Amino acid sequence: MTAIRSVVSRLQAMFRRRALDERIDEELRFHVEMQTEENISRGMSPAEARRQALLTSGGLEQTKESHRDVRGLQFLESVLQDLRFAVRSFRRSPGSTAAAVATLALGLGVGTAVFSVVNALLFKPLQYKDPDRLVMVWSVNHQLGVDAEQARMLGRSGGSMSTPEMEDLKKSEIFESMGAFGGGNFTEVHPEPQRIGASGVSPGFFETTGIQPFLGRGFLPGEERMGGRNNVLVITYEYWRRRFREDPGVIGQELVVQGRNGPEPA
Amino acid sequence: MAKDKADVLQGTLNLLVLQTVETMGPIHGWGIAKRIEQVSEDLLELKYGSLYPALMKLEQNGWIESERGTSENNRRARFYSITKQGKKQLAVEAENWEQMATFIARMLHGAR
Repeated sequence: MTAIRSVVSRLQAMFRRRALDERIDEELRFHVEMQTEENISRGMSPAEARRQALLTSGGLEQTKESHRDVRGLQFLESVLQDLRFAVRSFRRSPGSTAAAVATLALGLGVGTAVFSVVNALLFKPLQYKDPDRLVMVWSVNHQLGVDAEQARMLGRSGGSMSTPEMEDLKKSEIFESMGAFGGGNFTEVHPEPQRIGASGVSPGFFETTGIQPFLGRGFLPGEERMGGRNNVLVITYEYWRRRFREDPGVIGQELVVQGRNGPEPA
Repeated sequence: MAKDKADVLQGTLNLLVLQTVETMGPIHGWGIAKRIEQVSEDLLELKYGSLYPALMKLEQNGWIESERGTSENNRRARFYSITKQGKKQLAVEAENWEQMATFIARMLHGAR
């Protein structure tokens, strides 16, 4: 209890420094007045009496200083002193300050950049359904000399599968669900030609990755078939915002594109 | 100041002040100083620079409390009086001092 009260009162003291300084001033003033009177009654001249009184009061500022040690939290006060000193030193040598700041900034920047990459790649789970059960499948082609290692290295350009291969794999029921994707770019023709990153995906793609469309639906079985009637697109959220200004009535609108994976230009 | 006066022993100032406030209180700071000097028959030199900090510390600890008032010669002054806690503290410090004094006496005169 006493310890808590002491800390509280010390904290208060720190913030009420001025009030306490006044209080000491008050005490010392009173002390000097009383001492002066006593000295006069002993036969000193008023001036000498006051001078002696001031001498015996032991130096006003010194007393105030020793008060501060008692009252304030010395630690905090000396930290503040150090901070002020640091700022003064910085001002005195702006060159080395700039160098130090630049070094720190660069170090922090690089550290942050590296961490955000490592975080995204290694620490954060994939943003898909059951990331620990999600695998990427490549195929090998011994005739072309593509072994497993190379297939992984080549990725989509070398290790990809044909549609029949995938259909076989699907039938084997090794995997709970499968989705395929292939690269490609669209050129949007209307209203202004622009190039859009795009992928052709199989209907199982959204089911496998667990991605739910924000609006509308994913692909239905059969929609991947060549020459199918449904020329359908799923657009990214970003593209929806940019191109359609988040228009909720975007479903069913026509997008005129070229270069898609289908056989006919729409 | 020609004659050597003993300094107030480290740690005994609290005891002296508490005892003075207990017997004389409510009493102002200058009165405490005068009382201590008087009782010591001027053998002790009390540094006023350390008396007022000590008073504040005692008040911070809750051992004494203060109140504004008017002195005997009509000056505004602050009067200190002892608290219940202060009385306990005084008892503790007095006891400690008695023990120390007994011990020193034994050392100087030999155990009997």
